[in-house]
Amino acid sequence: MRLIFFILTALLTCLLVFILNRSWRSIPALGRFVSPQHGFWKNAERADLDPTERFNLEGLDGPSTVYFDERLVPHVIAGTESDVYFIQGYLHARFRLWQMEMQTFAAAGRTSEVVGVRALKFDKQQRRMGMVFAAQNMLLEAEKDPITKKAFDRYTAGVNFYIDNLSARELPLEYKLLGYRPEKWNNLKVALFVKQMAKTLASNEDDLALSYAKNYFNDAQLKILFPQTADSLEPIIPPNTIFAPASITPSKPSDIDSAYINNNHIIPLKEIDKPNPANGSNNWTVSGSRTKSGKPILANDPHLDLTLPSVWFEMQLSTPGANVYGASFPGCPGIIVGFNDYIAWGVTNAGRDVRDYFEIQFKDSTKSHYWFDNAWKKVDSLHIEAFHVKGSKVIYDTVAYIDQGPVMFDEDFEAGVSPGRAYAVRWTAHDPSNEMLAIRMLNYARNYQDYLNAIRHFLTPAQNFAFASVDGDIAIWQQGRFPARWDQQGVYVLPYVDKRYTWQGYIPQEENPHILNPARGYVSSANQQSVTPDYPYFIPGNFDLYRGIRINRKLAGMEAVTPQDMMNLQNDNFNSFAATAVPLFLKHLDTADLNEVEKRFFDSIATWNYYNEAELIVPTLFKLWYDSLETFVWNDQLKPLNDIGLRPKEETLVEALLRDSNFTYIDNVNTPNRETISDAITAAFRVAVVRLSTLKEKKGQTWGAYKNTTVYHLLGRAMLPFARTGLPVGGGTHVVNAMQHSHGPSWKMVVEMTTPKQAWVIYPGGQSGNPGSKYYDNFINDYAAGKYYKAWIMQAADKDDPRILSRYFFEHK
Amino acid sequence: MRFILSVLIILILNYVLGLFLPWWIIAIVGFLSGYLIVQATVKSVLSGLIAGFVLWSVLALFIDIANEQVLSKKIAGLFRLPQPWLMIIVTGFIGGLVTGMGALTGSLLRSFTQRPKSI
Repeated sequence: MRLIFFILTALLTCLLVFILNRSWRSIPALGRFVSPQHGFWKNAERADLDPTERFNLEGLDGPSTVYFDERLVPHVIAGTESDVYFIQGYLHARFRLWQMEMQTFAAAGRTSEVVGVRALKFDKQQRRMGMVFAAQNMLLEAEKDPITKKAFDRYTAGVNFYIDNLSARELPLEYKLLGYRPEKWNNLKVALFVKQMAKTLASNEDDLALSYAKNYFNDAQLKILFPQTADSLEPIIPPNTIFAPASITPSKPSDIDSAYINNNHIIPLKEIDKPNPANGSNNWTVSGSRTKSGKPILANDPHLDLTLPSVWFEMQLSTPGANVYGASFPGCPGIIVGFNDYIAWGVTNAGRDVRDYFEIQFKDSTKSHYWFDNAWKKVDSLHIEAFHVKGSKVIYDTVAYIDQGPVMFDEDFEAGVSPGRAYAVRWTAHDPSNEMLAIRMLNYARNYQDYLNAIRHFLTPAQNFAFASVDGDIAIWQQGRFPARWDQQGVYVLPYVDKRYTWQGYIPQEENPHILNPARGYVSSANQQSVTPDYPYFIPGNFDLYRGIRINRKLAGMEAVTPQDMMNLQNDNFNSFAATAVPLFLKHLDTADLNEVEKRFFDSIATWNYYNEAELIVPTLFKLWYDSLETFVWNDQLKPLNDIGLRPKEETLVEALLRDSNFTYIDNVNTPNRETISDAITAAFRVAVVRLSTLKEKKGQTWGAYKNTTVYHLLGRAMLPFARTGLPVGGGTHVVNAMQHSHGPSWKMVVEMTTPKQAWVIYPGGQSGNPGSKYYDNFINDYAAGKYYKAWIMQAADKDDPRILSRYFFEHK
Repeated sequence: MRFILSVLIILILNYVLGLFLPWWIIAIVGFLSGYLIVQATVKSVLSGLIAGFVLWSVLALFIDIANEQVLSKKIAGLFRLPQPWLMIIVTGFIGGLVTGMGALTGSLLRSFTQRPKSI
């Protein structure tokens, strides 16, 4: 009897340990997870300790020291470039390893290894888009250049030094939660990270969606719904700039009307995980002729999804050759946006279309041949992609590669409706390039010519590089690799039965839009079109409009500009879109039958100064009013486009109504009578008031509460306790302070080129990626309040400064 | 006296071995103490429960205080617990449960192997 008790109890105990030692669905192995000596408690950092650490290593050229200030910003004082990249790799891994790995897994289409089969479609698309292909091509190129080869090698060695010495108990929290371990870092992952940024910024064109729309609308209608250029455009390069004549004039094929413009047999292909169209930024530089100090001031705030940890990591890298400060990307070496002792630079997304699709016809399901030049041509290769999905057997996917690129959509992925028909993707991100060389050269640049030599290497994602130097030069250059297109080439999917529709060349770098020391005393960009239509190339893309207008208006009116003026402008909440739309709305609103509540809201919007302040209700009213109007106007006739998520831009609708109050789409085709603009605007107003009233009284109605600006953890809504929600900030789309629900200025920087340099910075996060650290999100409250931190640009003589809280000493063996 | 001693022994062994061995060593420690330390089964189980609970919850408490509740708040949120200090209770509970089950198993083995021989 006792034997039976013993056996049963023994089995029960083993079962208990087994259950607590395994992860189940989304619950981690509980026994290990809560053990104070093994689990999450090990990640709960002491708030009072700031340790000094010493490392004694082979492979270093000499001694180096890292000094951490009170914001945990590391100031790396190293003797050689090789050592500084090693240490940077180590620090990035030390504070952000999980983030680096997760982002490069996503780039490589490997998230299903960690998360399971629900991520498989995303992974398949990443590989078919050629993300790994692109990274491999970049790596080959980067390793040909001794400078970038050394940078990649040393950075990788630094990351691996951290990983190799990481015990299971010390793993970052997310590894414990998800139940896996980090793998070794390598140079390919650096390239994958850069390509992930390329996807984030240079894959937002609508070629597939517009091609599908051709089934329902003709080309003329689509030009009205999706115009290339807005009426009120203020381009990056000032109007009346003389452009050199185009050195390449591509020749249009003779059959474009039938084979291309009016060809509408495209099936509904929908990309998942398209980048946020608001991915963009502001930057501007004011010349010393207009600043109080007499030296240029540069400002930049890149707009990205706001995450914890932040995609940025602030640091200073100092070697005898260059002393650079700014924002770095955990995942690659160098300072990406920042300044050194001589120059400052910042970037905004160019938004140019650098990705086209080519339609082919496979001979059969083997995908080995496609119809080209009147014969069945063999594809270049067939890649077999393997997906090691967690909790499942290995899954394979075969992708054909032709000279244009990978055949992204075919019968095996999304395009099964029409047998054999497939779509290859031609993307500048696939082309061999060495963007990290551009970054390295910017870090070491001392003047305008150095800056020019540096950015030449930056092909994808194309950026508007703003520049300022201590010499007093200011400049902006839209830099990237751009195909020279004939008019309308690349707006839709292109036929590929012969070479006639392919890219015929690239716009020479000197012919890219640029300006140096303009008469107006400032340069600026906010993702708007770069030039007026008289620029001699067709340059389609996805552009913003109103932020650029506001920035130019403010800069033009400023005198004796100070850095505080620049910070105020980055925080500016004026809504230029509202300033354009509201007068139109009020003009056509029928106020005759408004009830009490409606009258009250009408008064508030009629007296609004168009500032999207967090505590006001009227910005919410405006947003709901516009959204309701948009639904009223588009929903009846643009219903077929809902499947592919295509919608005309907000400025397109408002500008169309301003041009023509009898705009054809106002009429609701489902009703017998013909609606007028007044009907539409009044109906929309009424709906908006009802929707506003149903939001929780007072708390849910203010713009800040409605927008509920949130910085999510990288794992998203599944990890809500790790997020920061309800930030009381204003701003919004079309506003310089581009704060949306979870997207906005991910880094803010203002640099004055005085001697010594002065810089003010902040980002919505913290230097540590550990949710158990007090440095995880400690910048967020100040960021929400619109504050900045004065960057401490450490000099070698400062090594005993009281600001230093801890040090890492690196000694060479 | 023996009871208090057994609690202390389990607690110290759990801690020391836990420094370099996997977390489930507490089940083994519980088992060994239940088998080797002569006391009634009930006392054996209780000593395992108490030692396991006290070690893990006290360690967690010290960590939590030094950490200023930064992490326990977030983990408690993930586990849908209304208060951060409940994480300390959960931690202690699991430590006590596993150690106690180990002790029960060991104690039952001892009482089985030391049963009076049949005549």
